Formats: sequence, structure tokens, C-alpha cells
Amino acid sequence: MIYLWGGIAHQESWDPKPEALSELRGEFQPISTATPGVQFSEHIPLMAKHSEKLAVIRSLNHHVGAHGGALYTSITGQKAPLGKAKDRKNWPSLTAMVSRFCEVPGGTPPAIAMPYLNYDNGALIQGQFGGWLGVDYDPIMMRTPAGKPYGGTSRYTNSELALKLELGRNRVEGRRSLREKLERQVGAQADFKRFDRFRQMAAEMLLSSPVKEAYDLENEDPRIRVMYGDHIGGQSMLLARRLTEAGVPVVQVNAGAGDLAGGSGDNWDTHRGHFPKMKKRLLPVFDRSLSALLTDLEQRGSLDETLVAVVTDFGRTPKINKNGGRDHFPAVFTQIMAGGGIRGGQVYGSSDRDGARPASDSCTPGDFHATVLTAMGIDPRTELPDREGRPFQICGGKPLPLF
Amino acid sequence: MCRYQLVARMLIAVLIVFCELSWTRADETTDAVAAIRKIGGTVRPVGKEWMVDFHLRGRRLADKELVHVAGLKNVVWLNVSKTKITSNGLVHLKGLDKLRWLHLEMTKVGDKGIEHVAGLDNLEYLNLFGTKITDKALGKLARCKKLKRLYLWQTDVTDEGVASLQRALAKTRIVRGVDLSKLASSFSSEVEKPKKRVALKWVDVTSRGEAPAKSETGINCEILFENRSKRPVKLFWIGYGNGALKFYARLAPGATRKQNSYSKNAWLITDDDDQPLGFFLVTEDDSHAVVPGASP
Repeated sequence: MIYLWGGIAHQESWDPKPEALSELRGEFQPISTATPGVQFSEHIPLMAKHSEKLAVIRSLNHHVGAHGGALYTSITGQKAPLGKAKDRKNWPSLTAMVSRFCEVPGGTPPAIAMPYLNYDNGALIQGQFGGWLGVDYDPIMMRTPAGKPYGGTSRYTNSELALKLELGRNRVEGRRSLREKLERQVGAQADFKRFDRFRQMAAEMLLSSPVKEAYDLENEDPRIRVMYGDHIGGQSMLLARRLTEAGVPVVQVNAGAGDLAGGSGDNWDTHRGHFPKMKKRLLPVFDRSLSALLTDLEQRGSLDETLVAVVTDFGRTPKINKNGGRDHFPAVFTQIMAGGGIRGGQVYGSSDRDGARPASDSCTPGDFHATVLTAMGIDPRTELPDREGRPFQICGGKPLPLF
Repeated sequence: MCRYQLVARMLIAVLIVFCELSWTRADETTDAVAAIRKIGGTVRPVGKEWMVDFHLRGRRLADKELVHVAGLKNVVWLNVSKTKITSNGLVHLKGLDKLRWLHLEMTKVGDKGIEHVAGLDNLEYLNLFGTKITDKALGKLARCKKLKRLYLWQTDVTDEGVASLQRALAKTRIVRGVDLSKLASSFSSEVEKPKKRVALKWVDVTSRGEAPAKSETGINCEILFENRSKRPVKLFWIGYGNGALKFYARLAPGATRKQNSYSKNAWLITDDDDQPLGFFLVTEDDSHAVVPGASP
């Protein structure tokens, strides 16, 4: 899953509006894609060539106009509660939910997110974790080891995994045996066991697993690295591909600066200077890295088996504000999918002339989730017990007919 | 009555034999599954069929071990990518006529092994990326009439070979991927974008004048030094404070050097005998400092 934190403008990406009223239209021109009759914005020309692989869903909408709640709604498919970021009553993110149904060998995390978590002015946003599935399904945060960073503010916590430790095998094993001796004295309390599980996984990763091998981007053909672009956005997409090949079932790439910081920095919350920021900073990195990922998955023969889903908070207002920006707009927005058995070259739903309301086949984040789950071979009606043992259906939406 | 009994007995006998047969089959299947798991493979049932993967934990898979997969019969998916198998191992695919998806990418499989693959009539997906197969293999694959996708990135096939196979299998999507040799050049423009540099003024000190006594500090910038004279020159930085000379590089005729510096720094150029020739005073912009050809 690729998450575009801040809310990408549908008008300036997947759903150009050349017929909109002149004061709403914006500066960018539409361009043809590889799919007859489908147009994208002129500043994602590489993605336009991949349109035959994409299902473009142009009629998504929800009711949450603030980032925190909108991320929660988009990433969990549920209404946003008022709670803390890591509250276990929260609904699991789509990344966590899918990973719940995947078997992994030892030393392989069920889900990884990178390169940093999403914050708004220093506040960690709820919905990015395992929620009531439990701490076992919190995606493991991983630092992308290469690439120019996004401009603006990105926050690291103390717990991101950086596997580039220069520890030899003997030292890791030595530490592990020392630890085991110490632990015999501590006993087997539940918290300790849980903590131990993560440490075990980390040790296995460091020692031998394909995950460690995948993390080392130096092992990749330098020409392929160039194809993804020397930017943390591109190198994260490359790392995501390598991790899925190494057996990690779900990887989430947050493609933008980690903290919205009032709309400054390279994130999609473009309240000010929307057009130059999209054109110069955001879209070039995004276009190149995502198209590289699709090219690479295709040539390796793994696109059919890999679902790529691009998710965002919401769209942006048809009206251009006095600061040359577009504001939050959940009434209609676009997300895309590729691979994983999804039929490419199709557009589902549409927005009206001004990109202000769904014009046909209105659908919700829940429907998007149901579609992703179905593509992953998981019945959206599956019931799971929550923390109090009450059964929940994992998804409230209906799968969209994209297969 | 007697007749019915006989029929009943026969039926029971048949049932027992049938049960034993299916019991044996179940046993064989269990053994095969256990054997595959033992060597690092993953086995997933899909209805009465099987999906078998070795690409994560079973990378040491050797040719002869593929016999365990053959023991499983209804295998529809087999992934042996990145394992140690070679063409010789593929002989075990012979009985797997239900196989629809076959991952052989990044293995040592070559043209010889494709003989066994070409006999799999139900094959829909075949991944050969990163193998050494050539047009010879493609000739054999023309027999796979149900093939929907074929992956050939980073193999030794030619345009002609692929075109010929595409004529034989018109509906198959043949993926060749990007040409890595062209890929680098398509992005080369951004790799080494020439910087806009202002020319730094060369101040000759051979006939008259002196170099500054010391450097001042200023804003970070980059200088590209270029020696256009016909002899080697030495590059010294004139220090802060007491103005001590610090040697940085010797530039052969025609040589260039990128140098980090600060505005208001002074750089002295001497000949090989440390006799001063001239100096540059750094400005705030990235600059180009040319040691001229005529005077030194």
C-alpha cells in the first residue's frame, strides 16, 4: 500500500477537470494515457503510460474533513473515533488487517511500514497500527537506508528498525545466548514474552533471513536503483518490492514528508502554492517511483501476484484559495489499484464537471477495503473476535467489480 | 437372498479395496507434503489441488529433491525461483500435467530444461526471467498453446526469436522488461547535470603584485579548478589567521578538480617548484577557476 499523507488533489493527478469553470480549473493540462478515453494530469506522464495496468476509482467519498480522522477512515475503512494513536480499541489499518491473514516464516515481519509514521504537527495519527488485532499486528517501522529525504519535517520514533548494523554473526549469537541466561531469572510474564517475540524476530532478521538481504539496497542493480530515482520516495518503493520478494506479505510506503507541519514541506497537504509544489516537488518523485515499481513488478512477472493500492486522506477543493492552494475535500476523491488480479485499463465511477461530487458509482473507503481484501483472497465478511471476544465482521464495505 | 448376500459381499469387498486405495493415496500425499516441508518448501491446498513454493526458505533445493513435488500429483502452482535447480531437475515435472503456474526465474535452468516444460499442456504462466535461455527454448515453447504470460527479462533471447514465438502464440503476453543498457542513459541527464558556474578572476603574481596574506571566511560554495596551462601546477589554500599555506592538489595539464570552499577564501597556484603564479579570491557563487594557458 502506498499512502499519500495530506490528501492528493484528484484534479492534478488521476482525474483532470479540463471542462471545469475557469476559476476552478487550475494550471495543469490533461494528457492522454495508454487507455483510450482516459486522461491524467500532465505531470504524471510516466504513470499515464501504465494506465493499462490500473483501476482508477474516481468516485470515492467520506465525511471527514480533518487529516487525523480522514487518514483513519481511509486506512481502516471505518468512522473515526476520538482516541489515542495507539489505543487498542482503534480499528486495524488495512496493512495490519491483511497481514492478520498471512502466514510468515520466522524472522519475517507480517507487515512493514516505511520510511516513517504519519504525524500532524507532532501528533501521531491514529489508525496506522494493529488496533484491536493487538500489538502483534502493528506494522514494523523500517528506515529506508538510501535516497534524498523529503523536504520538511519527518519524525522518527525510537523504534524504527534499521538493519544496517555492522554486527557479525558471532556477536549477534553471543548476545542472544547471554540474553537467554539472563532471562531464565526473569520468568515468563506475558509482557516479557511479547517483548521477547519482537526481539527474537529482530535477531533472526539480522542473522540470516531474506529480509536482511532485501534491506541491503546495495545488492540491487545500480541501473534499477536509478530507475526508481535517488530519493527516499523511490528507494522506499524499491525496498518494498524487495521485501515482498523476501516474503513480507504486506508493505506500506508513506510517500511524503512524515509530518504535515501546517502544510509546509513535501507532503500532499497543499494549502499554499499548490501548483508549483505539485509540479516541482511532489509529482515528479511520485510519478517516477510508482511507475518504476509497476515496470519492475511487471518485468519480474510478479504484478499478477502483487496488489498495489494507492490510498490518501481525501481529495482537494475545486476552489483555489487565496494562497494559490486547494483545501481538504472528502466529498469526492480518487484512489488507484494495480495488479493482484485487478483488471487494468479501467475507470470506476466518475466525479462531476468540477470534480466536486461523485457523478456515478459513488463508493466509500470501506468498499475500497473490501476490494483489496477480496483481491488478497480474504472474505470481507470474515468474523474475528475483538479484545472483548465479541465477533466483528472485518469490513463493512462491498467489493467493487474491478476483477 | 443368497444372491443379494453375494452382491453385498462383493460391494463390501469393493468398498474395502477402494478404501485401501484411497487410504494409500492419502498416505502418499501426506508423505509428499511432509517431505516438501522438510526441505523448506511451503505447501498450500486449494480445493483438491496444491500450490508449492520453495523461493523463500527452500532455496537450497537441489534437482533430485523435486521428486517430492512429483509425488504430490495435483500441483497447479510451483515456485522454485532463486533455488539451485538446473535443467536436469525439470525432468521431475513430467507427471505434473495439471501445472498452470511455473516460476523458474533466477535459476540455472537453460534451454535443455525447457524440453520438459514444453510438455506441460496446461501451463498458463511461465517465468524465465534471469535465466540463460535462448531462442532455442522459445522454439520448444511454441507447443504450450494455453500459455497466457511468458516472462523473458534478462535472458539471452533475441528480438527475432520472440517475434517468431509471438506469431505461434498470438494470444500470449510476452514480457521482456526494460533494456538496462538503455535505462541508464535515459536518466543520465539528471545524474550529472552541469552546474551553472561563474568564472573566478585569475590574478597573475609573476610580474607584479602579491597573493593575499590570509583567507577570510564566508558562504559555502564549490569551485571547479581547471589547469589550462601546459605544465603541472600546485593548488594551495591560504589559511585563516597567520595565512599558512596548505597544499591541496597537484593538477596536471588539462586536469580539473572540484573543491569545497567558502567565499572570501584565497587559493594560491604555484608551479612545481612552489613559485607563486597567481591566485583566486572566492565569490559566493559556485565558480570555475581557470589557470590560463598563456602566461604561466
